[in-house]
Amino acid sequence: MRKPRPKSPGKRRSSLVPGLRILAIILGVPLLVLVYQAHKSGLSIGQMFEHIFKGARETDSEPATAKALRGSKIDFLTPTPIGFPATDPPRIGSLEIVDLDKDGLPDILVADMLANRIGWIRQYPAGVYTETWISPVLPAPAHVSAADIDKDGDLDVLVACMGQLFPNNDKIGSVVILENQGKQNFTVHTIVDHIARVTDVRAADFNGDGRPDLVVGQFGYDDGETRWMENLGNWQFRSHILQSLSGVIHTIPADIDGDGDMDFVSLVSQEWEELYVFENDGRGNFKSHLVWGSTNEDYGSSGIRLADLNKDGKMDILLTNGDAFDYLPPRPRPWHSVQWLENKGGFKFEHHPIGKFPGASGAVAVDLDGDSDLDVAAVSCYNFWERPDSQSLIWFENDGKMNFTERDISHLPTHLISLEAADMNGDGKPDLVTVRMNVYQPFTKDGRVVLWLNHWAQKQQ
Amino acid sequence: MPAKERHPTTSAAVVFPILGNPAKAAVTDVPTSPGRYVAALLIFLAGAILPAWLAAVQTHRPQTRDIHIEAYRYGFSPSRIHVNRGDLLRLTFSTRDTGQSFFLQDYDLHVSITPGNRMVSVQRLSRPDDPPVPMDRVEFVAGMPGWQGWLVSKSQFRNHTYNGPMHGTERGDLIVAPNLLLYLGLGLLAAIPLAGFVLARGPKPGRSDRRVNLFRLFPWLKRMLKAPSFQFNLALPMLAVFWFIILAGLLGTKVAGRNAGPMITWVLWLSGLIIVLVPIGGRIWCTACPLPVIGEWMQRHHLSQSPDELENGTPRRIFGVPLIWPSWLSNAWPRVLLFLLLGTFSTTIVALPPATSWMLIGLMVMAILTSFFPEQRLFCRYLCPINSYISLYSTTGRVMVRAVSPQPCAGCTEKFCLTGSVKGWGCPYGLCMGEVERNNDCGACMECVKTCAYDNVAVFWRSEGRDKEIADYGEAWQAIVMFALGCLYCVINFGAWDRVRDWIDLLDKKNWGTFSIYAVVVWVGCLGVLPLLWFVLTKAGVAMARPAIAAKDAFRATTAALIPIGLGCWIAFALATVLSMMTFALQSLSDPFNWGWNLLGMAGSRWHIIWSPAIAWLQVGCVLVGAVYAIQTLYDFWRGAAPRRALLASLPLGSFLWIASASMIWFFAA
Repeated sequence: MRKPRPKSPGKRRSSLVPGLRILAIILGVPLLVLVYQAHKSGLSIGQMFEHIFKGARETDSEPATAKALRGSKIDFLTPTPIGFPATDPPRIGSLEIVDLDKDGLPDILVADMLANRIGWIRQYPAGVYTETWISPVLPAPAHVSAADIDKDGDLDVLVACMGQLFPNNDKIGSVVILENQGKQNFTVHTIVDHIARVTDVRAADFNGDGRPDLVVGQFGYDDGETRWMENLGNWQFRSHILQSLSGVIHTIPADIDGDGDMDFVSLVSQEWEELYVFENDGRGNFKSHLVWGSTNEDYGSSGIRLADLNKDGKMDILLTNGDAFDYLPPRPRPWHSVQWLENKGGFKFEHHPIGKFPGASGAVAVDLDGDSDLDVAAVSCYNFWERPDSQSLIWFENDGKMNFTERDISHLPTHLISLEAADMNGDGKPDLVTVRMNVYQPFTKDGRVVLWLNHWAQKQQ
Repeated sequence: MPAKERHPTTSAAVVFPILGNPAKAAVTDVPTSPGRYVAALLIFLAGAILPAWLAAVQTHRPQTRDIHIEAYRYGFSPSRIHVNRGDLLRLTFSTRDTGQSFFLQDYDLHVSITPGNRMVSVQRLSRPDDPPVPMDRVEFVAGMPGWQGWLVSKSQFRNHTYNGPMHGTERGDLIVAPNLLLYLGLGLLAAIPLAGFVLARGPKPGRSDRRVNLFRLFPWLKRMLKAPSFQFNLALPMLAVFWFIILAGLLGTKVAGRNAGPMITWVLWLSGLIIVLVPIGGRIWCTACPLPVIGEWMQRHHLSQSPDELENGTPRRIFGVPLIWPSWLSNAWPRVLLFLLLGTFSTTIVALPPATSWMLIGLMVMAILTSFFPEQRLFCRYLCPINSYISLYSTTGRVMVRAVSPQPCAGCTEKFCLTGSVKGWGCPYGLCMGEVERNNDCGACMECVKTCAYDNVAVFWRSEGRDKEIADYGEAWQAIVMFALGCLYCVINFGAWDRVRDWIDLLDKKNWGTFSIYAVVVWVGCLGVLPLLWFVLTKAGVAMARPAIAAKDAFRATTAALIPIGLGCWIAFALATVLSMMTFALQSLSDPFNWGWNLLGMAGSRWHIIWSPAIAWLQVGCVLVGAVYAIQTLYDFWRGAAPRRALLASLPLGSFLWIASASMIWFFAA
């Protein structure tokens, strides 16, 4: 028996209009999303497309190319623990070497996320380091830097507070400035709070009014931000949100385009794994440029430093990727490495690998061997610590032509999160200071802050 | 297919009026005497008061308890903490792997735990601006203050520190004795059959099943539904939302709780469907569903070009192969199996935003591909896994599309509702409105409202009654599978048994081996063990009551009793989901891709569970209501099939329903 079939209405309707409406939905919705986001982020449609569809980039989830040659170990750095002895596995977020008391001897500021305070490791007299707390308890201070915010001639201390070290989307971040009252007595100013977890705050005059403004990187977890805060004077700041991407690790001011005003470079990790340069027009109006990005969502960007590595007069970017916080247990990945991005001008950067380094968490450009070119010292927080040959501190020796030779420095202490270089003992050679973030096995109490004195000349003799 | 063939009247429907048209049963409406209602009420009161008294006399002297809680991905040890009201709890914490937290909203407590450190950071949730206080031990008294102390016995603690894609499932229970809710729930459950027995011993209760013609109440509704492009205009915005959800899932954040794709799909839409749309609107969602829009447009485009070809010609061919939908797929089985498949992978699909998008894309592609067949809405009728839920539970829905009066249909030879007319399309579901007696098969597309030349189709609201017919074995299995999955989802998602969730964790633990065992157990359980058990119990009832019905027919018909209790479990599941995830859903509506938008100003709001202390009460309430209707449905069937031995016949399956309900009450309350 033949089944009756539904008929169309006797009066034929045009199917063109419904079809066009369906087409308008299918094309219109993504277009609307793309245009809105491009408008909101300040990126061009092309950059927005690249930002969303990372597959358009060259792939870099392959093991990092071991560009650097392996060199023999040269023992020229002598480690000395400084600061408070640790009673628990240490958890230092960052450090800065600065002469806070302006006595001519470099001191060290550390952001202690275990004590939740800022430690000032004062060098006085020369070669003697004494640590004191200069802040009250702060919610997970992740980054510390010094700048004279109120222009009173002494250095104030800028603190980026995450609120909580481990992932959290709540608005628990804050920016705190410890106002130096002249004799290293500090008054606390909470500049902004109840924002996504803050991982970086630095000072620079962005609008040319003579007052240092702030650039703030907010990692958040899923809802981070990048903002600059206009200094209105009298500890009042006005926020200007520039970008709303999660995973901001570092925001470093520098004159990238050489036009005399301060731009800044932002490293955005999480699933983005991108580097942005925010171009300043000199009045605090910023235009973002996506200058590099990884296709690998697990790239593990861990930090940047700015330095003119190839000494061509333009600021380059030193980049490490080795963050393994997402994995349990945190283990290195084959693509973890140290690299640099050569500033070619016009906000174009060329990516160059330096060398593999499992769990690379920070690097600094420094002429360790005194041959007038910049070498790279790097630390690792997530190496294969059960292997004695896994290094927590290495250096890449530059032959002056940007060819690097990797040389071991030390396996211990493990879990080094950051380092800085400066001539701490006034012998003309840059020394290193490392800090430790021990939140995963193996747990030990040593190596909270370590000064590595440079004896290069003696060793060569 | 003629409507008669499409819905062959079952023998059960002929023999037992309760399975037929409820409107016809209204003729035998006999009121139950007030005395019986009073007696039933007293039984319920006793069921409530006695357990409460029992719970009260069970109180113990408060003591101090030192409890160490170890958190790990994705669980707590211990995961269930049993204490007495007034106990002083001294909690210490550690984490086995990464940063964790102990989020106990009922006690205003959020403890952040970090690896390698015995000190924890403690915050009061009510004072989020206060800095966290470092402590080595957290102390509080078990039991909420005041009257809530007597009502709230079960509090869930969760992890509020993101530590992986499954972190939302990391939870445990703090259970404070005496557990009034548990005793009360079980007491009331015990009272249900007793009260039902008292009510049922009188004259057979009739079903008034009063229907309200909504077209008479709201004439504008009729005008709206009669508009030629009503459904298309309704579904088109939904298509935009649907497409937006897909984009969010594919391009937005990988964290499901912050991605509009999974949040809209699994929290807002699914919960809305389960709690509101289906129990109230029946199949009203199908009216607006965007899945068939493109396929139907393509199909009707072709039809409008050459209807005669389809009317009289041979089936459409592709590469010479005739497109004929096989008859063995023209039943409920494909959609049930697809639902089971999705249900098996549901934890992964929910936790992975792109998986949600790909699932939706897959459904859309299926809908488009099946539109190449000449039959309309093949996808909706036989393949749509969502329809597996909707069609079954729409039988309880209040809204229905029906013929206004049987007379015009009886005299109608043209069957415009089936074949179409100048005013609209023929029923894409192949139904003749005069014979539609239940919500299952009607997709509420409203074409019949337009096409009926006698203006004899309307949308009704029924104040009582529900469809109880189970048309075939496919639907019987559908009822069993949906009931089983409703219970399973509750256990998997809300249980404190993290080991089970670990077994099925494909995302970051890649436990394919244990997942395979789980999948086999679920499929065998849903398709084999549970139906077999139901059949054995039915047969036992048949053996005891010796009715004039074969056990296999009774098996099929009695699965209708699983609909109310299944729906109760699903609503309990959806309520807990939506209340605990609503703040995430609102955040993701504000920032759908997690790209830093703040469309509604709620992107940065803090997560909290809405009505946290009340959730267990709502869940137990759902189970109790479901149990009432389930047992009533079962008993009503046997009253029709074995009038003199209905109680005896109901005993085996009734016991199963009672035990299943008691288990779910225990699960939700304890």
